[in-house]
Amino acid sequence: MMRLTVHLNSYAKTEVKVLDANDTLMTIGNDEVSTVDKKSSVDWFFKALNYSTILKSELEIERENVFEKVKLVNLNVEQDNFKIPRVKIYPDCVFSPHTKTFLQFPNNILKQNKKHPIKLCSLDKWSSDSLTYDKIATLLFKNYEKFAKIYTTYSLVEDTQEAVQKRCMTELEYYQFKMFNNLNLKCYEI
Amino acid sequence: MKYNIAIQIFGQLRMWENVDQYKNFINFLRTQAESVDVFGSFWDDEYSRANYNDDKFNFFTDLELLPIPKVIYQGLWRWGYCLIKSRNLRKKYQNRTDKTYDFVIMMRPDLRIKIGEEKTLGSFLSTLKNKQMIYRTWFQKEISNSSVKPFDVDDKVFYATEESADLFCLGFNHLHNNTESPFHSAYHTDPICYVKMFNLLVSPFNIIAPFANFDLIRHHYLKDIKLTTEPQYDEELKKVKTLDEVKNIVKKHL
Repeated sequence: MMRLTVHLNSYAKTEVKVLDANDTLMTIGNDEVSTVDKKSSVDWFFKALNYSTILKSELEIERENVFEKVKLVNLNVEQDNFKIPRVKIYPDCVFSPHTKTFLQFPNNILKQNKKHPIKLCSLDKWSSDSLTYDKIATLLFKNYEKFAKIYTTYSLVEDTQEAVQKRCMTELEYYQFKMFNNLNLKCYEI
Repeated sequence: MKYNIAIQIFGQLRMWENVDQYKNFINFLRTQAESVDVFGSFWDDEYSRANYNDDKFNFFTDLELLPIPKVIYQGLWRWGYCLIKSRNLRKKYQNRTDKTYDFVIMMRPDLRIKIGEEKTLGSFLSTLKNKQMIYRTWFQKEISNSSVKPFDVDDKVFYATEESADLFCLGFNHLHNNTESPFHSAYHTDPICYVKMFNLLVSPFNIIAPFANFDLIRHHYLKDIKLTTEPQYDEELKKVKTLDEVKNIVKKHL
């Protein structure tokens, strides 16, 4: 079993620590991904996440084995307070302790797909297999700038960590929704 | 409209006497691009070092000569290994400079490049940007089902949008360094595994974007003297580095 935990922390230095035979901790910090000239915290987040694919892939080449499970925590906004699932993780499945559920057509109950609503995990804390990690970590900030939009047609109906407020998808959530659809990724709560 | 283009040239360095073809191709791309950055990842062998010492890489944005791994596997393993390394070389440069690319070209170093029309290139790049294409790759030809393998494709040149190139190159780890992968490596099938595992879209660029044609220098020479491109001594030809060596082997067998 090889597990990798990736921490994004713009106040820390980049390092890779082998914790034991099964676990490695990688921190992406401001020395490798500069905070200077970044347009926003979203900009830094996507660039740091993207940078982690360089170090992760080099580790996987060196070990001649991909990590079986990978966990990502953006320490700038979240705490690392969840465990990597013990069950087998299959490709294209993303697990998170924080998920949100959205429904289309907020004003037309008959058209709402309640059986298969849109589920989005928090991009700041999630776990997946290595392949799926690479898919998510390759989301680019330049595409966020291009595609992130507010569409009032998707409304929040459930949040596993907060009381639901009446609102539609944010720009970041819409970008995630669009890209996860492109990449065929599914979110699940743990 | 101007574009940023990245070129990753990677793999076993061969036929680098014909480096001018690459320079001409880059100059051709520059007619429509704001910038063309070139990244090279080649094996650290005698031939690469000799070319390095002769300053034959002076137009590269960044270059690395890779230590040859202790164990080398068959098929396109070496190709994929250098491809992922060239991706990381590009990504490190992008991280340092905060640069993004509209278009990424991944290509072998032993190609004969026939350049087409600037208008065709301009029109392709314009479509790419206007249609906001993402997760797109372009292979030289259609994916073929006609061989004994499940799928078959050329390994000479690949075009991609930036995020697609980022993923495509990572395919090496998920195919060759994952014993649980449902994908199986076979000669000339690896690139198809890479696009399938990441759900990338594929189109043939010889139809969609015919602004350049590519052939191996070795194959072009063999065709030129009316020989098959895969003669019985093809394995012998694959091992040599220069066109003169190819000519000598052909002479020996004729």
